[in-house]
Amino acid sequence: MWALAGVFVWAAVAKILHPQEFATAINHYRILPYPMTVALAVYLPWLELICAAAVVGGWRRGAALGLMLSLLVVFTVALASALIRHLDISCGCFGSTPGGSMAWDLVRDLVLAAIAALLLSLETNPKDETRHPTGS
Amino acid sequence: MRLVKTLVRDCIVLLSLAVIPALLTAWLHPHRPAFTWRAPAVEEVSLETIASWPPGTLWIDARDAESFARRHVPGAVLLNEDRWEALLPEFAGAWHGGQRVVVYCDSRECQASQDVALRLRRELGAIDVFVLAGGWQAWERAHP
Repeated sequence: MWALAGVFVWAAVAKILHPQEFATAINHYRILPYPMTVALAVYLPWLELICAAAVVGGWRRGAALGLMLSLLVVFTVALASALIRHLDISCGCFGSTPGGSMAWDLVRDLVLAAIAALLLSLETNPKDETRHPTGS
Repeated sequence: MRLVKTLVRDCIVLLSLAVIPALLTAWLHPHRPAFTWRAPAVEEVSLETIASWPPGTLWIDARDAESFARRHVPGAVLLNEDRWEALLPEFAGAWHGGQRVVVYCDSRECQASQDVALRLRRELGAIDVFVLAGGWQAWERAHP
């Protein structure tokens, strides 16, 4: 849980510090109209940070994990579409920090998505959900 | 069903919470992207990115001559669309093929740097042309 939150904090802070570069990175995917790209560039990093804080702090953890999973699915789809279209771009996952190949980024996002899904499942199906019959 | 309702409600809370700092970022962040309908035609690069490049970048000042005379990036060449023909020879003398070129104008809102960069690409085939994100204001903030 801490590792997943840590990755999200790292990604969020890098992008919060340089929203212009994040907007350029999103724009390179050629998926969204530019105004939406700019709006996402200033919004998404804060959502990542708030979700990470919520997971660590145990405040609305289920929802935070659900949002993290949704974000990772969206990121994975975007990366896959870039790979399919042979776009020669950088992931932009951690702002302007140079990363590995797009294929590596895709695998990393899939692993993180699997972790988020597992944690979400544990969070929403707690072990102590034993029923105590009443009236007997 | 109750769990789903709780999750949805909590998601809305978290999604809404992120709006507040996002609005502040869009309003106050020194490196905020410009809200325009059209994406910049020429890629914008930050000062940090330029600093990571090998030396030898040619700076182009697309502001007016008065602003250039007051202060400019050291080594920059003045080139704007108002006096394109008159100023172009100085650029041509300073630039050698393949050299990276970074164009700047006043701020993130100005269009002159994009126009000059596009024209350099079109007329001179200068491929490695970029625009400084945040323009002169960004450079001045970093070099008070």
